[in-house]
Amino acid sequence: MTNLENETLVEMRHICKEFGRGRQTTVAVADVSFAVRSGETAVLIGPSGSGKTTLLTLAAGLTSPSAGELYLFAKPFDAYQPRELQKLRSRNIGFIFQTFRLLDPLTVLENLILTGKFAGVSRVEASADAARLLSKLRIENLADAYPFQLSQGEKQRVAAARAMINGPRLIIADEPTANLESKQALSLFELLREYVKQSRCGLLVATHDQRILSFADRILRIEDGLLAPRVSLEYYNQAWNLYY
Amino acid sequence: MIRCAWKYLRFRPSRSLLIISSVALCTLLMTFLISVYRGVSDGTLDYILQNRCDLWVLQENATNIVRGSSILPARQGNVLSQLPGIDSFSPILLSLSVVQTPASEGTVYLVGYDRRKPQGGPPRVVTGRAIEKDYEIVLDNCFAAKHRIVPGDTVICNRQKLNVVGLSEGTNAFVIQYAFVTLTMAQRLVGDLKIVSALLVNADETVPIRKLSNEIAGRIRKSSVFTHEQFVAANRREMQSGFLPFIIAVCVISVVVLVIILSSLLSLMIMERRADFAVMKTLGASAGFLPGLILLVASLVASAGIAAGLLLFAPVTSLIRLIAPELRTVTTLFELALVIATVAATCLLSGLFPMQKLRTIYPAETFQ
Ligand SMILES: Nc1ncnc2c1ncn2[C@@H]1O[C@H](COP(=O)(O)OP(=O)(O)O)[C@@H](O)[C@H]1O
Ligand SMILES: [Mg+2]
Repeated sequence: MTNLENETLVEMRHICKEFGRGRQTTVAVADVSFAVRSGETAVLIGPSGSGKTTLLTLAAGLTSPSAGELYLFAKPFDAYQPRELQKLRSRNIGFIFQTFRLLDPLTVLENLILTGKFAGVSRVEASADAARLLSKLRIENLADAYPFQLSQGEKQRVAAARAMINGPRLIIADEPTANLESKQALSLFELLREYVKQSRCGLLVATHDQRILSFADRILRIEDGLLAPRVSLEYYNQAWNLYY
Repeated sequence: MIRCAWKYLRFRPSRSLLIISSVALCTLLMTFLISVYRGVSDGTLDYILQNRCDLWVLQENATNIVRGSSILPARQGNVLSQLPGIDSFSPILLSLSVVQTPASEGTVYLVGYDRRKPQGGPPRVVTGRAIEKDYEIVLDNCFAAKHRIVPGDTVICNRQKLNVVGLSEGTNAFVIQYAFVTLTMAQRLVGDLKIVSALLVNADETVPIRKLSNEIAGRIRKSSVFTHEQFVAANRREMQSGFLPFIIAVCVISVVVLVIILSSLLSLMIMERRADFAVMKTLGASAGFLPGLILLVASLVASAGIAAGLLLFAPVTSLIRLIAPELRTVTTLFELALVIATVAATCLLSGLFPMQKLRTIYPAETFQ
């Protein structure tokens, strides 16, 4: 945390994650080492079932690794108490999901306020933050709408707002564009990149959507729970074009 | 958080209405039963409470007049006139009699009393006047309402025509109502027997009550003597033993049913919104947030249901009274508070079972 520019938010060293026991064991992540730094957009790309989501839940401190060393905000995962992990998620991490996961009974504004309150912000403050953020994202007209009244694109913008409301140091997004059209996907990533640049937070995205690779500072290709050798964007695009 | 709980309730309006209705019905049922009980209790005991005297003299082994009979020879009163320490005594004769009108008939608990004596009459006459001579009768006002009898009417009791001169209150024991005639009339109606049921004795304080009580018991053969407090307690016990277990059983059953309904509907809500709760956990809701939310939902349901139940109480009671005018309900603040506390506690208890389900919701589910 000495150098704000290059603060390491999440670091994994030879991380392995297995599910189940005995013959039923599934190796979701075999041996992965990487780090996400502040101000950087890291994209985990790979086919479905390759272990992307598992890596995200590890990075969020929601699951414990089976082996390897995991550092969250420069502190070893094992050193965290459950309550600290909960605080870490509410204050330092923003989440965006493939299916948006907005709370249907609550309005857009209330969704944001509730998230603010999880971080210990008072209702009044959270309410002001939420209103400010919605107008910044130019969706203040949606404040009193319920999620069922929104289009897919609007839902994901609201979800992005929810991820930003507590001023996180890291945003974790799992397949955020899987349910979006190209235009909406691009607009979402422009929004996210803008935010990353401004706030210097880290962005860790798991996807198999190559439309968003141009936004990546770093591409981590994962297959069968293993990281492929580092590839450049050009190489990746070439390979993709060759392949399809 | 209250807002959040309210929103989750509003999200499934028909289910929430169902939950609130069951709380309301439970509140209504319990308030109703308890006020009927209080009404019966008051109506049964009012006659005894209002005819306050120092000693009640009954037949040997008789302990109460609520569910027991007592017969003493009328001349035993003469013994009392000769005893020192007695200011006055009032004889009463109690019997079950059928009162007929041209249109209907009903059974009353007929009280014969001597109106020249201080005790034995109705607690309160609310319409007309008290009896002044033989061939007059005062009926309970609920009994009169049920049989459409008004003062001025004539009723037939054991082939004797009696003029209804007044209606009384505090004389409705729900299953039976009191009626009042002269002692002579009452004795005539049981077949001209010179008997009484009890003697209500007022002491003149020259002799200690205990001593007077022993004196009377010794002089009147085969009698039992009670102080007013003992007699009220004995009658209350008798009344409760017949009625209270029933009330308690129905209340317990309704509480159990409410717990089952409420906890299954709350569980249903948790399972249905499972994904939401997983999201909340992922987003960093504190460990107490979700249990608190469920408890708040339960409290909102409790408040709305209790309020609705209490609001419904008056109209529902009036409706029931149209069918059964003899039904009398008395609601006291204490009993109201008891019902509210019981229902509220039941609601919170019902929130505790579904809460266990929250533990099986994992934040990582959000990513699936
Ligand atoms: N909770 C779990 N229990 C058992 N197996 C799991 C669990 N989560 C993931 N897996 C398995 O781990 C592998 C990687 O899954 P995942 O991380 O979801 O991949 P991706 O997100 O790249 O599609 C898959 O084979 C999946 O079946
Ligand atoms: Mg996935």
